[in-house]
Amino acid sequence: MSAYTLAGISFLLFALAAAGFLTCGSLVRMLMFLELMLNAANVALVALGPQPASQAYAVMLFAIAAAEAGVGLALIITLASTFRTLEAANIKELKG
Amino acid sequence: MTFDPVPYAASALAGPLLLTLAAFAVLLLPLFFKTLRGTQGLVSLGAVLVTLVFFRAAPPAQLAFFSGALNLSPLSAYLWAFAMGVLALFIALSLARPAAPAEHEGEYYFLASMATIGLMVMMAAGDLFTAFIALELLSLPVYALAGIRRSKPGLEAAYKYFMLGAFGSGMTVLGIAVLNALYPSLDFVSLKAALPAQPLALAGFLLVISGFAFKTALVPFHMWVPDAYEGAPTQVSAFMGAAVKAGGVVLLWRLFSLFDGGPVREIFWWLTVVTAVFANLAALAQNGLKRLLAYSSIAHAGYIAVAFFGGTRGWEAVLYYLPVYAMATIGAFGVTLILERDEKGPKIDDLAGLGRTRPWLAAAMAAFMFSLAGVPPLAGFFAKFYAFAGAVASGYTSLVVIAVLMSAVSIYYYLRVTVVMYMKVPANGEDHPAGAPGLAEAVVFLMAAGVLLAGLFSRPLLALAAEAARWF
Repeated sequence: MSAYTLAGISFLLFALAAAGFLTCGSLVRMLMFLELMLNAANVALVALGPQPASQAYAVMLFAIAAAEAGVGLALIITLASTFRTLEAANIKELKG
Repeated sequence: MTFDPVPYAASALAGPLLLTLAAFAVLLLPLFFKTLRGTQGLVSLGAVLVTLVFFRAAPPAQLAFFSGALNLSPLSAYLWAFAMGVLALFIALSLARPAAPAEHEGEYYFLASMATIGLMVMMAAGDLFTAFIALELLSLPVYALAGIRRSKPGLEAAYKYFMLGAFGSGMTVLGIAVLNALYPSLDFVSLKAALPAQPLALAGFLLVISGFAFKTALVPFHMWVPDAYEGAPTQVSAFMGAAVKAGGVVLLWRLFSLFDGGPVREIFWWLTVVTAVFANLAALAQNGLKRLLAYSSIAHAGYIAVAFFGGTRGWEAVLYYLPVYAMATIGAFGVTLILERDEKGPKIDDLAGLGRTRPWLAAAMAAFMFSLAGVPPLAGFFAKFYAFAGAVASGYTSLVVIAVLMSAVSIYYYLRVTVVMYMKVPANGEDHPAGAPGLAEAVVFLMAAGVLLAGLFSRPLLALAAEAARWF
């Protein structure tokens, strides 16, 4: 598989994940789509970029994605126990 | 004159290192030594103040560290002093009115220190990737800080901020992936040197810029701001307004300055106009003080973006604008914090009668409102004046006309706060009990003095800003 095919797939994956993020209403799914977006971008980074540097960037991005998943999951667990729901539409404490 | 960078680097980098050490100390030590509990805030504040006092003025040179990932210069020194000042004020406000439950105090100050270190690295970053990592180091702790109370408003604020912030990060990473493929290196100098007119490069830059615009809260990337500012603890809202926004501004400014013209500038033009118009109109309809300040912060991001168009004079204006805006917004959130009875903060009408019951507090709040509105002789007027003057000198008159008109609209809602404080009688006869003045009041009055003095005597701060701007 050439680098360009791989990059094309990753762009497609990113677009699908972004669309999923914007349309789904469940917080857990949103978090999963977020991770998918980050990983798709990461694949594009490694597929297209000049080699040693891009791989180093990718490893750092793994750590970022993991940290983001950690914060996100912690938030979602606390939200679930406080609001007793995971639908974004039901969490309307604030105006707007 | 030859200059030896090593001792300077040692003393300059000692600042962030000391902050990191102190952050881990307040996180970990109380676990082992129970007597240390409750002192975490003081330890953090002490670390920041020690760092600020021993902060060495930068030599007139740009020094690259870590193979160009970190550029230290008078510019970074100015911005670092700003960042540490904001952290010190944030800690002082949190000491006065603790936002976190007592058992989480260590985490609270740890997260705030980490966010500030991320901000400092971001302000000195020499390449796009370092800037992105630093941005994450800034954002992730603030998401957690917003929800640290685990109450309903706080958690809703945190999750909205997190979801949209992380979405912005995803866009930034994709943009970085594209730019990384097209450019030999991601540092800002080579990005500027080898700017191709490829549509793909443009797409990459737009992705990165929209990711950063989420953090700076430019319209249409601002959806999280009102809810996040309203639901987060007020101290954290002040930190978001002063620190997180400043970081986003510096990054956007670096990206903006890569372009001398072309579609990116045009897109910035539209972002600026839409931000100034929308934020000011939306602010008119707000009843909650924290929401009002949130829309005000979006509007001010728009005014700062006007200054981008002013070339070198614009950079000076941005550097003067950031501390002036930070003082007014921290002060206004400080007043909100003193008056608040629940987490969502007081309504504007709850301020009725404040001018009679707590005249000094009301006077300080009026000073913040007038400064944000841009009424002379307060500092906010000069900040806006310099920001707009640079853009006019560069020929962006129509942009400035729109910004000035919207700024006139903003006088209505800032003035409304003042009118309510001085001329309205509290509806239910409720008064504002004047507690013993404490640290929160001290912060508020310090900020009021700052807003007044930086306006009456704007020369020293402006000279510092001009000196720093030369090293951009």
